[in-house]
Amino acid sequence: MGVLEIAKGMGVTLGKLFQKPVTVSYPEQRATLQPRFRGRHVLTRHPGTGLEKCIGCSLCAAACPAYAIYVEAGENDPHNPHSPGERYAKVYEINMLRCIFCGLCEEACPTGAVVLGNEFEMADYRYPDFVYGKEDMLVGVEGSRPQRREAAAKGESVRLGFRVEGGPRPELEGVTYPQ
Amino acid sequence: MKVTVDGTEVDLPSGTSAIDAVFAAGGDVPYFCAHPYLSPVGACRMCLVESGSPRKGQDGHFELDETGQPKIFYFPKPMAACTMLATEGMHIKTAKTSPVVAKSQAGMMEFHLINHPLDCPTCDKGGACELQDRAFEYGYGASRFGFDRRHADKHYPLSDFIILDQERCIHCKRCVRYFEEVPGQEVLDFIERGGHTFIDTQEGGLPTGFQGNIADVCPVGALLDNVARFRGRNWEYDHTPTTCTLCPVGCAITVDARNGRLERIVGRENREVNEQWICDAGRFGHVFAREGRLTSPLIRDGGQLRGASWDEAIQAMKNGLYGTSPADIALFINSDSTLEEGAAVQALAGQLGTGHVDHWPRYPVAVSSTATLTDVASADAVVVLGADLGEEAPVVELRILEALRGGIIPNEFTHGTAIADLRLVERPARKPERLAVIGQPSRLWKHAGIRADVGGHNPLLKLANPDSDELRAALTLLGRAEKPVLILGADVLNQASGSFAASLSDMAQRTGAKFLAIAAGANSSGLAALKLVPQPGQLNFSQLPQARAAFISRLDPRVRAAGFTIVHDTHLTETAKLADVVLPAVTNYEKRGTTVNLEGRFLALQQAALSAGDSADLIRTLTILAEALGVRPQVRGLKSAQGVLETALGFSVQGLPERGEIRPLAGAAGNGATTGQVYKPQLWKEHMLDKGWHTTWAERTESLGAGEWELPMAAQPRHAPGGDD
Repeated sequence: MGVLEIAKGMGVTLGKLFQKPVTVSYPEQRATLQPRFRGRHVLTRHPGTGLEKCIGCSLCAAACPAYAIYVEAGENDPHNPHSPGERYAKVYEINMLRCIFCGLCEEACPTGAVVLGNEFEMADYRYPDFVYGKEDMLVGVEGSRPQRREAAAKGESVRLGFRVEGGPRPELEGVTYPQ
Repeated sequence: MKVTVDGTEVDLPSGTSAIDAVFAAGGDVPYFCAHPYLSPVGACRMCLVESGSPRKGQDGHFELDETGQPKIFYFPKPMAACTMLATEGMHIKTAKTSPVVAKSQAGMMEFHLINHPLDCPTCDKGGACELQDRAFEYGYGASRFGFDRRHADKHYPLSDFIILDQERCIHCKRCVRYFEEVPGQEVLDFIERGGHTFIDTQEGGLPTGFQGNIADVCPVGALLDNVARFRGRNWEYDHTPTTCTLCPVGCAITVDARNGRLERIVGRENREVNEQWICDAGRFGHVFAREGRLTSPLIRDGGQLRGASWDEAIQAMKNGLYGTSPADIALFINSDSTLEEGAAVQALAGQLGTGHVDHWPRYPVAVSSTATLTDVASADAVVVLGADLGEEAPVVELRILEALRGGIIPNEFTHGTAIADLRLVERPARKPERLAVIGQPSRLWKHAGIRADVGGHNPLLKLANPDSDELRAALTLLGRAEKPVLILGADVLNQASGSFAASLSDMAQRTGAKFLAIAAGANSSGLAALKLVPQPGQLNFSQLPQARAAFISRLDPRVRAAGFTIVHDTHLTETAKLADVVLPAVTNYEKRGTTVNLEGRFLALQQAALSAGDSADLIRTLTILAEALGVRPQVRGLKSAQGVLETALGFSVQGLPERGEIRPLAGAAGNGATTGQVYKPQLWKEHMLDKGWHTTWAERTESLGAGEWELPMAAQPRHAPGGDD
């Protein structure tokens, strides 16, 4: 190795020294995610009617390679339906510890109800807190369980630690993330 | 008879249908309308095959082709295999070798799917649907019919138990044929024609008894089990093949559980017992296995029952039984307990030296039947004596009706029961003159040619000494018949006195009839063979209040013993509320064991995956009782119970064939003992009824009539439709 090579390497170092840093000081600053990032699931609703898209068919549970999803179906009250048609998901649970965020549930869903969103900040203390129900995943619920708990304790609104470049995917109907 | 299917030659008995020839040769054709126990009608046109036969010329010899082989003259078009008789030398080509057949089957599938809605994700049949499977195997995968699907009534309750979706119906007519041919009830039919055809009933509901079977026969999700509605998808259930123990017939059932809860029961085939059919009580009366279960022992503390651990319960039993002689403890069990449990009771009673052992319900006599259910179905004369079969053994009623429509039992092949037995015909001619019913009026009454109401008298004695024209006609019927069968029900067996065995064998000898005695409980015949009846001088079940101490398993006499009372039950019954210690029991769906049905057939029970807390079966509970009494029990588990059983019966009950086996029960007939009470059979028990049934659906259908509740498809859409069409 000659002096020339050392000088070349040092030149690269010197060049980078004067560039703007790429490190984001998360969580004070928001991390930038691509729209296709696969994070916490969102259960979407039909625009307009506001009915849940999920019909409780359990196909996501069948497709799940990690057996993370549990669905129990119920029958809609015709006067006050949860979803279009006769069937809806009475219980819809995803164990976020088991989930490997592969997105097969989204592919299996015949109605486009379960969509992988971009949220990823779900670190929590107790095992049962990682089993997310409908009340944690329906569209409109912002933030994960620990985030919402903390926000409620502080009396603030949930602050998501990321932004999505170009906004969320069109499949995430009704979901807004910081841009 | 030699038939060639796709180049494979098979040897078959004459009378075989072409569809069975294909399956016997290991081939496959799709079919929706054919069903082993129903008449073949060729309604769905899916089983199309190319077929042809050799032809004889004018010289009486087969016409030969250029290679010297008999020339095969094919039909010009594909033929429905289920309604075609296979003939000597016939050649059949299925979709495997014939592109014409493959194209016509795919085309038929396209027709079937014109109006079939794409709601498989919400349909309870999804995953176990013949249409789904066959469309995948034989369909094009796409449709050229782009127009709107027909809309009809969706989720419209035909009864509390059955829900109809007219859009999904593919008009195979299995349900219509089932009702006409099997229980002989004309309730369902096609209404309108062509593309407008729909299934409905004008009767305002379905007849109770056997309506649930139409959910099993429906090849699509048009007729579904309303009790198991939306409980789980078919691939999510744990399927357990077991035996139903609600009545002594012992029908083959599959118990479907999900997450430790019993959600659904479907019929399973056992050619020799229930063929394919089960009764509504067996299918829908399972709510008790799921709701209100006892999950831990209860002990009486300061006058009140409170939850406790098993250790506390053992201590309570130890304290309560202190000073009681073990020989004074009465052991009373339900007669649907398994043979293994019976052996455990017998062994423990022997060790304790108690003779106060009984099972209930039972009759004062134990009769070993000489007829099998197949004998009933193929009999040319059936005389029912004092039985209300709808309450005692419903499936026997179906087997009797089978005898009335000619007693044709579908043939069996290596691939199973014949898919289309051409001897079965639609709207069969029935022969009511072959059936005589003597006793109280019952559901079977309307099918019988000879009916005699004998009031409260013993029907058997009345038949032996006829004093009316009907009774004389019944006796003549028995005398003339070649294979007559006598069916003995509760009214005969309750009144059985000392001379009963003599008068029965006299009647059997006089007429040459075989007899089938309908036992009181699911395993009464087996438990009687184990001598689980009180000897003279010992207490029977009706004398429970006199017992100094008692252990009662899954019985609800609503009284307690004079002394310490232990109740082992699945629910907090009235008796359990009176007890000193209540131990949680498991239902028969959660047991492994053996039961003996009314024919003397040994049938296996399997354990379904249900969760029931700390509940224990009878064998385990008896070892705990023994521990509380300071006795080392001889039977400590299923294996040792089977060992005791082998000694008692002389053969092993392990490794029974799937359809059970009739084995002689030595000495069973001798083991009678007075019962002290009359057993009145009742199929539906209080705990089997779901409180919701007769309110929600009945209210809904009533308000439907009043125009309050709209059927969703008839209603104006309140919301813009979302998702798929």
